[in-house]
Amino acid sequence: MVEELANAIKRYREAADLTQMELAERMGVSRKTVNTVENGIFAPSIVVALKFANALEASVEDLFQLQEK
Amino acid sequence: MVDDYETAEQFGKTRALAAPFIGAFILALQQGVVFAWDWGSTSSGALIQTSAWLFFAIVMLLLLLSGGGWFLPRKARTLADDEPSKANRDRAIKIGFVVSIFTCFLVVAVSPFDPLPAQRAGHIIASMGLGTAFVALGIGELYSNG
Repeated sequence: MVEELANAIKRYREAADLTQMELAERMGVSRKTVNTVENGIFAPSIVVALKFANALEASVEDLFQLQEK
Repeated sequence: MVDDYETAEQFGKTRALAAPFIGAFILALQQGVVFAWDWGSTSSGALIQTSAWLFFAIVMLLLLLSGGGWFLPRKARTLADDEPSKANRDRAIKIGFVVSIFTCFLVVAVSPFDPLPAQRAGHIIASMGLGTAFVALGIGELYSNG
């Protein structure tokens, strides 16, 4: 069984009315980090995943899920 | 006033656009010197040429390994050297390494039929590795910037 990392970052970010740059500044990372993770181009480290969770006031499990390909 | 986030963003975009051109320039330079370089010569002109190319190649290698932005403010440089950039760089270096090894294989295979001076063989291998690594870095960065 092949699994991939899915995320709900865009939904949470838009619910918080934040642009990618605003979320990046809140997290202390680059906009590119937000863009690549949000679009599933890059799987983040635990540190960056926790920063997403803190900035969006959600749990890591809410933001990231494993789903079958 | 431009803050560190915007500086990092601009630098990331510039790096993404510049990297493929740097790679293409390294590969074009390699092709260009085939006809102009006096391989194995110890004349002062040839030594200056060799020194200049070595300096250029070392700076390019350091640029590839570090991600550049040497003169940016510390925070902007840290932001620009983010996880996706490091991943793109690691991938580019891996591609450059594999291309260098394959170029070595070709040099070994061709040498019995068309003997190459050691200097020329080293120049070809280094140029192929560095050039393709920069092209791969640029493609990865352009894709990441969205």
